Amino acid sequence: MSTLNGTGNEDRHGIDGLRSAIEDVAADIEARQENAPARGPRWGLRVAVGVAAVLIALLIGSWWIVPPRSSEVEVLVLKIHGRDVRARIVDDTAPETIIVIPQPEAARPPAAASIPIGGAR
Amino acid sequence: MSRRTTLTLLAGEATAGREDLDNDLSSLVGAVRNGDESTTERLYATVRPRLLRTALALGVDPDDAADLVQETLWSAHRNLHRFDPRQASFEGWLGLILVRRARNRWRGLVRKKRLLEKLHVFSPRSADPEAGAVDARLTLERLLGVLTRRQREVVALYEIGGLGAGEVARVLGISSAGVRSLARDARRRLTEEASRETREALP
Repeated sequence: MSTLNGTGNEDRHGIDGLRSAIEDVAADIEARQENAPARGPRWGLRVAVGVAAVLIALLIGSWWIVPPRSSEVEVLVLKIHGRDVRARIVDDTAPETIIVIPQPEAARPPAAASIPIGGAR
Repeated sequence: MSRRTTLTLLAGEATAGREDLDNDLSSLVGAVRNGDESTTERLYATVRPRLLRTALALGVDPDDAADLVQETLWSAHRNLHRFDPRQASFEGWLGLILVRRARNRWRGLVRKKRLLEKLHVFSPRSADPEAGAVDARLTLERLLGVLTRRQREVVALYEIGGLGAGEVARVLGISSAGVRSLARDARRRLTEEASRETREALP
């Protein structure tokens, strides 16, 4: 048998066995490479999908997880049926909505509760 | 040069085709160096099969061999302007890059293996070869196991890679006579191992 760098038949048995094993392993590697999907576009697609998923997650997270900042203002004068009521307004989550919370008048003596509606102090 | 021709050369049936291959590669390399990008993939597709087999003969893990070949080709592509055809053939130059990278990888693997042994970590293989290729892998591992690292390099470049003794000598930094001597010893060892296996396989 002649080979590229062969010297004849003596001592060829082992090298031929090695060559055969290499050929089988290489053929297996090449077959798997050929059957594998193309690497470039698939990687590009994966990266694009990954970036999009992260952006979407950030968007959703910022909407649902991070609570919107509520602003609270003090109501200086609130009259209900002509009566002054201490209250505060919370401009909360829903757009175009404010919540008015009347405040308990803890400091006021019980007698103050008898002020008639519409009456003067 | 088609892949089929390259494989025919690997099978050792066309020694006369060696010059054709070298000439073909020289023209492809020249075209790529002159900026003809369309021939780049053709050039590397021509040399890739033989380079893969050379890597396997060097004892590179089959799971890593394709990556190593790709790294070698990438390195060659980046440094193509440094390739001097008067110093070596293109395949000889590639062989030099491959051997150096294989040595570096081998050193890294030894360090990693020692570390894993210290940490008592078992690292499973990720490959899932075809059933028929499993036997071939075992045979390959067993046959290469009887060779020294230097013998493997000579076998890989001289027997599998098809480079001449002079070119292998330049790549490995030894004499041509040394290459032939190492190749002869390697062939003898391989034959002894193959014969021993045959004897043990008989009932």
